[in-house]
Amino acid sequence: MTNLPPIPWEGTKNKQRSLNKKRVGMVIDLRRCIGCHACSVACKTENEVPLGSFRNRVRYLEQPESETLSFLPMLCMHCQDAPCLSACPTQAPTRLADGRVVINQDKCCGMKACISACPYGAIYIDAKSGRADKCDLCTHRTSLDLEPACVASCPTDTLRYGDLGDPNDPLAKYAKEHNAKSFKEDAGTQPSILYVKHEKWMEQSAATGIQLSSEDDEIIYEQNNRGTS
Amino acid sequence: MNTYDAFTPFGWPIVIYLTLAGLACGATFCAVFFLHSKERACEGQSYAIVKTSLYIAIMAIMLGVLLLVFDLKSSDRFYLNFLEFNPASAIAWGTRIITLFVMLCVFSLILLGTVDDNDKSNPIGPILTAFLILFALAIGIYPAQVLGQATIARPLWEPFLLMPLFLLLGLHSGFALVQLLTSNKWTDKSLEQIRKLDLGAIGVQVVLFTLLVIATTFSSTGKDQLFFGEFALWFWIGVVFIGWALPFIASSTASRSNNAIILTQLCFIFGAFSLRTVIVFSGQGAQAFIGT
Repeated sequence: MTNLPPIPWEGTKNKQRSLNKKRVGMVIDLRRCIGCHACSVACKTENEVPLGSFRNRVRYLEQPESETLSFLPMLCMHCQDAPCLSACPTQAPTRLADGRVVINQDKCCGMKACISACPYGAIYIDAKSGRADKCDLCTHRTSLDLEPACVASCPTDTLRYGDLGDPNDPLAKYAKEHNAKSFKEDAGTQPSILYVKHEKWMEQSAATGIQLSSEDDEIIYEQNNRGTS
Repeated sequence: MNTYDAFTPFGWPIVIYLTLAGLACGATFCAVFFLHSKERACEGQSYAIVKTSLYIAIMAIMLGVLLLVFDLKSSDRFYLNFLEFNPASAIAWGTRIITLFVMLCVFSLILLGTVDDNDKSNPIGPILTAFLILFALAIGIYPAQVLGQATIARPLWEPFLLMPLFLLLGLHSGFALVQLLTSNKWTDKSLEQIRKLDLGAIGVQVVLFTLLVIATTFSSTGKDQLFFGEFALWFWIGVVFIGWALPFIASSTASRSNNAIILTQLCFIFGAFSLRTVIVFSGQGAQAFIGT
């Protein structure tokens, strides 16, 4: 990691960015997801995410009035109007020039205000450092023109990365062509992660977001058996 | 490691801090009240009550801040709150407000130390009094805004309803604590006035809380969390019975024994603590957008 280029800390003062600027993001085509967890595993490995926390997590959701499962990969939505930016007193969550929201570890004191404010449950406290952390769309990879680890590892091209702010970018075209929408659109946070074939009932089923909740009994059980909590 | 951080990032230290901030706000208002209304207390003893109130305010807010620091996941980096400033963050403003508030209270105590308790002159001028009121108001209101910044994720934390509710809880419990510690110095006239104010405060609390519930918990999950969830006992016993019903019955009686007054004030303080407990934990339990 030491040979990688430095992160450009060019956070804008304004939480609301003009949409004609660069806006990196993803389109997640739920029609293609097979729930294989390759993205979660790749993310965990690439970013050394601690046990019990997730930057990227595939939720298994039971469709209402049916026994069929749907799969919903979730990660930080890199909102254009991100509540975490307003809540943090030390400006640790920062927006980079390309629109992604990252957490500047040097400024974080573990206040948890960002965790409380995030409607997607995307932020966690790293047990080792005691500081907040979350998906940064693999800044260290994309600065080398590589795709984020989750996108590169997806066997079905469910996850696609690109610039939503450029209408000529393949991602923006794909989003428009397939009518991609944001998760919890009502929140008004203007996410940069868009979903194809996303349905409203999924928001109810996946309201617990990305991090583990008390409903995730199996995962908690597995952790407890390994001596961690 | 706390696996549930993303769901209940604000735990008991935050609840206790919110209560202590409210006590500091209420105690300061009590100090100002007696500073300019000597006739409301025993002749010649009002400065003793003012001093006690200011000591309570300082100790409550400092203890609260200490709790907050220990609650940080990187407590050794607390100084960052002073070095970095995010004008959009309520916590960032709160840090500065608390610092100035403590300085004002200490300065007021120093000035009060220059005069005798029986002295008729008022060493704290109108400007300092105005600042005390302003900062006590800020201390009472800003915690609601801290929770309110998460209202997108936690709909129960509606800041415009939480602000008057938290302020009222703080004022009420602050006065109650001062009365508890200085009850022997209060005149019958003061006690009677406070008794009537107590009744009004309970009524306004009930109205504000009902409005909060109506405005924010239309979803079944929100109501479940509040009335039947993990912290329902805190609501029904701590808030409704101990915080509202018992003091209402006690305050409705015109003549009260000293023990009844002490019990009533303890009920108010515990009720305020219980209500904040319910709001903080049920607010985090009720997930946003369910039912929409």
